[in-house]
Amino acid sequence: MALILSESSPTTPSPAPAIRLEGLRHRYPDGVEALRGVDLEVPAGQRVALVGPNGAGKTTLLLHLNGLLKATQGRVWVSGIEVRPATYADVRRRIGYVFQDPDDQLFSPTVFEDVAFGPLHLELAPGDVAARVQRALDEVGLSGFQGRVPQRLSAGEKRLVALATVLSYQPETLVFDEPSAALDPGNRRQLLRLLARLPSTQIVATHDLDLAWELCDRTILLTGGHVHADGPTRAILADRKLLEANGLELPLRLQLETSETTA
Amino acid sequence: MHEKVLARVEPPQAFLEHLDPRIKIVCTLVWAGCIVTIPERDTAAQVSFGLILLALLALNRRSCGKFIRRFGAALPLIVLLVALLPFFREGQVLRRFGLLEVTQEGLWSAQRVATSAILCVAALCLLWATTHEADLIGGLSGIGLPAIFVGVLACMLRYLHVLRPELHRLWDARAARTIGARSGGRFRSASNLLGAFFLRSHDRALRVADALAARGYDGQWRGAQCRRLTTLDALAAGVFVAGIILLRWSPWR
Repeated sequence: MALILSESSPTTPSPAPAIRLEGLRHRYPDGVEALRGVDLEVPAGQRVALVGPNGAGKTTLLLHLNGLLKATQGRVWVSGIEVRPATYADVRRRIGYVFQDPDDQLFSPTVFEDVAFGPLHLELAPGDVAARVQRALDEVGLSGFQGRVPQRLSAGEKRLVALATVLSYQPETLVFDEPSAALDPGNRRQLLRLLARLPSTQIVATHDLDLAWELCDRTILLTGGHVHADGPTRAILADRKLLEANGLELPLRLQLETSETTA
Repeated sequence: MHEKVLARVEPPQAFLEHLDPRIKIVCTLVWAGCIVTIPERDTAAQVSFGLILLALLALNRRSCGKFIRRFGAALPLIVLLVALLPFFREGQVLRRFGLLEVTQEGLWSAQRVATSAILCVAALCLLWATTHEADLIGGLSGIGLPAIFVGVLACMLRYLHVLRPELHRLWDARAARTIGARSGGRFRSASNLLGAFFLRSHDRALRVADALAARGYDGQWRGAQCRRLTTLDALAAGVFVAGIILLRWSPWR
């Protein structure tokens, strides 16, 4: 049974939510059931953290949002459009998916071409493509990186370029799979500031609960393929018992506050 | 094992680097056509084309390092191709090695194939060394090659860049764990490395394909469009193509 905490929904819900899942189930070919009936609605403009232990089904859930995985059962809507083969192109231009490993996403000989990949598939004019690339790189603070070779960038730069590759086609919803993995504190802070500045709907699957605490209005705790708790981030992530029962810990900042109080 | 890779794609500097990739591809094709039609024993023509190639290399000294690396990799294949030719053509026997006979015609045939292969492969290596990979793909698309062919080639070339660091990581991990192993152990660990590399390449390919699909890839490769041809492009192509055709088929030769 999911724990639903009521004081959520900080933004006014639009007629069509950014994301809607209805009874989503997914079973992999080896028989592992990664999602066991997930119902979820994310209003436009909301920043949602998706947390849970390893194997909870976070990545599997994200991969359904733009049809990279097909649901065994259940339905998914993105901005009111049902995700199915006929609507993949439409859905994918609305969802900007930043993968866990930027090396999977950076595939071109230059940063320019990687960032231009999405706009080129929108059939934009060459001038518009170049302008979009410039704007996306400006946004992530990497102006002048157009001619760089992606494989030779640092981990932090790769992460930012991966973000620029989706910002360039201006999706309505950004989806992040472990955005702060392998980042040093400085790069993590830079990414956090950047994400906080972006106005789009954001869904962030992460183990970095401090990032979730600082960035997200709402947190969804996924365990064993279903939603175990859903509510305001400050309520979910401050619940030590709930987190520990699900293989997680309080965010570091709360642990420090608790230890200071005890001392 | 670690290869020196440029961290930045450098702007064109050498003469050939400035030319449009479509022009360079077409010139290379005409060059290959001229080379393969040079008759046997026409060493004057072969030497003339060789000199032209050397002149082009001299004009593009900056790309010589890249050219030599690429040509060096292709050379063993040419040697393999030519090595047996002297034994398999009938004619005046020059020498016997047991059952095998080296004939004069066989030697001429080998000389012609070797020269043609060297001149064509060298021209291709020069094209590759003086053209950025993305421009090469754009150029192939620009001269009207089928989109499916260009798409497969583009993916293949780019995937090599993804796999190279993967192989480096596996190689380093193996080197770190095979301290003092005997040759048998080293062979086993190298085999394991290749197996792991294959599996990782497969997994990585699936994730890369997902990442491409997530950004709208529908099987049709859309690269940056080719620029407009300049007067320099047209002039260079005209002079080069006319020059080599005249050299090959001129009536006064």
